[in-house]
Amino acid sequence: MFKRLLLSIKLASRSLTINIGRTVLTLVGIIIGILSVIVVTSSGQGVKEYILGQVNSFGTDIIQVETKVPATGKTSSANATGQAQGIQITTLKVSDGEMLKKIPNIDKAAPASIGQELATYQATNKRAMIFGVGADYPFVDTATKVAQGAFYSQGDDNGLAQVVVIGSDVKDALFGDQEAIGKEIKIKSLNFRVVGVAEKRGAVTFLNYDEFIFMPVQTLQKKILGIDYVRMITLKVKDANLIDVTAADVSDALKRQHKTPREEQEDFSVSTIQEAQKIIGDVFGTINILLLALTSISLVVGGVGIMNVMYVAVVERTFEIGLRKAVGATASDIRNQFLFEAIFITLIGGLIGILLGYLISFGLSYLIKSLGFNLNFPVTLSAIFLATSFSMATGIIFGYYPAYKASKLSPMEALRKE
Amino acid sequence: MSLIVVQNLSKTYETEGVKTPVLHEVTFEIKKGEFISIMGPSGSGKSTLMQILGMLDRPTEGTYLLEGKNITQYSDDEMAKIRNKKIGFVFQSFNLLPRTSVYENTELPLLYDEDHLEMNNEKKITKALAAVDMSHRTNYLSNQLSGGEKQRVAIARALVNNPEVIFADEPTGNLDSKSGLAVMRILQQLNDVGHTVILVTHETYTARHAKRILNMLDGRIVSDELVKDRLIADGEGELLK
Repeated sequence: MFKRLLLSIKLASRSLTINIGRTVLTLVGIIIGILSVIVVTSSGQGVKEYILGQVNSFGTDIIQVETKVPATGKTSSANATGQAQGIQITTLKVSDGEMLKKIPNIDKAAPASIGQELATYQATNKRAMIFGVGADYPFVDTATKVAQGAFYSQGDDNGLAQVVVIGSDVKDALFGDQEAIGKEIKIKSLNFRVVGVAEKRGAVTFLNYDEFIFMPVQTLQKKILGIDYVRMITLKVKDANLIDVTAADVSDALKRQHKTPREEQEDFSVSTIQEAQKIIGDVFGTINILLLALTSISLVVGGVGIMNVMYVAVVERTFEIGLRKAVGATASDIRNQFLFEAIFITLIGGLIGILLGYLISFGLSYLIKSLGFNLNFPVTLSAIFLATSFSMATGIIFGYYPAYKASKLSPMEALRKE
Repeated sequence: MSLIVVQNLSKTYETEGVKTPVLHEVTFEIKKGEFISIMGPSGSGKSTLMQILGMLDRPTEGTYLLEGKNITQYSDDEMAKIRNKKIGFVFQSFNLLPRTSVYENTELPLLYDEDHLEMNNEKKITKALAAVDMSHRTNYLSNQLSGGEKQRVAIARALVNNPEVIFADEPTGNLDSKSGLAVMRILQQLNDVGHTVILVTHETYTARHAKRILNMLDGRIVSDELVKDRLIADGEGELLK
């Protein structure tokens, strides 16, 4: 029994090498299928880890308060499109930040608003995001560090001082190699003194902090935008273990302050990083399943390719099947020989696919890193296991029927087909 | 004891409801060591009879005993195993595996023999190839051989497992007269050393190399007689006749 199985394996590998051209063509289909499973799962995993990493870089002790269109969910498209179409929520104030700071577990509060303006130094212009933030900002976003000079003070903010801390790209664009500290740049015809240059940070999610100009939030409100509200307030808690309770306290305090006791009246949203992590995890779980379903189509196509080739092989080699049967091969000898041919093709294709998928994932990681994103596409063991079992199953499922048909041929009928 | 006993053997092919009778209640016996020609024009049923005797096909009716065992009751796989041990085939169109060496073609029946030891393969193959004078072509691919050489390799393959019976279906049909003669000489030599040879042919000349001729017509045996002036394929002499 074992000896006959070995024989089938030997004969299968021999006929694959005899028909090497066809073997290679069939391999291509399987390789593409397996390769896409590997690349898709690794890139899905990579992007998920990247975004979670970015979210975590804000710290697990952060509560984010943002404006929200009333009667919409905070992550709803109604809220997002509402704000994008210009529904301005003007009820969140700098004073809310001061009020929230009185909650015992709140350590720091940084209200923020955003604008986009042209910054000019001598004859050089640079369009930049103006990020108006309170003086607490470097404490709530610890990834923002000042490389030269210092961040402005609360006194600067309260006194509407015309000072800025510029991102490293802004510095390079406006000053090149020159010293920037102490120089004055023009924004909306007003002079702003550069008091600090931020450390190069690289792109974070979809924002490039190196292209930001940080400005006291009240200066931005009063002197640039002409508004009295903010877009968000970032809070840092003292004890991260109590973050959920504190987030509820923040929500209650804002409801009282904004006189919006009912949920549908709320014009703000309160989120923690933990919530964001859960949402990201859920979203990527769903995306990964969808992507896998799509890539498995390519494996099925590869499998049909195998079936097609095995059918052709059975027809082409009908005479050989007849001859083997005439000299003593049993039906199971013939079936096993053809089945092993299909399994070998998928196994070899699977191995090459895994290897190429690994190389492509590695190459993509390298390429994206060279573009400044700290993004890895890890090939996980589960992806390799998935790809291998997929390819084995493809070989067995799609190889079985042609092999079965071959085994059922009558030797006499088959011999006539020479 | 008779090697082969055939009683009232009939065969009818059925294609899409249309029945075509090919053999009608054929009865005969073949003793061990015989050299028998089954002769007849095309359509006489001689090839069908050979396929049933060679266990490549089953009769519709009747019994077929090989060494006293009723073969018609055997399963396909049991028949495959008996073919492997007891029967060797030589076909008109050689039926060698393409792009495969002479050695590997000859080895084929040994691969499916569960009882033999693989270490003896080489000895058996060498002996079989020597018997057909093809030792010098062992490593050639089958498509590098002439027709006569191909048929000699096919004979080596048929006898490598030392079978009881060798079936030869028009073995000289695709060969020139010299190569055909060489094939007949080998078959006679095999018969001389004890193999039963059953030859299917439509040529009287070829048939007369056997010891006995069964004449068939329209699926029936019309005569069964011993060959009086048997031809011996001993080389040049006969060619000149």
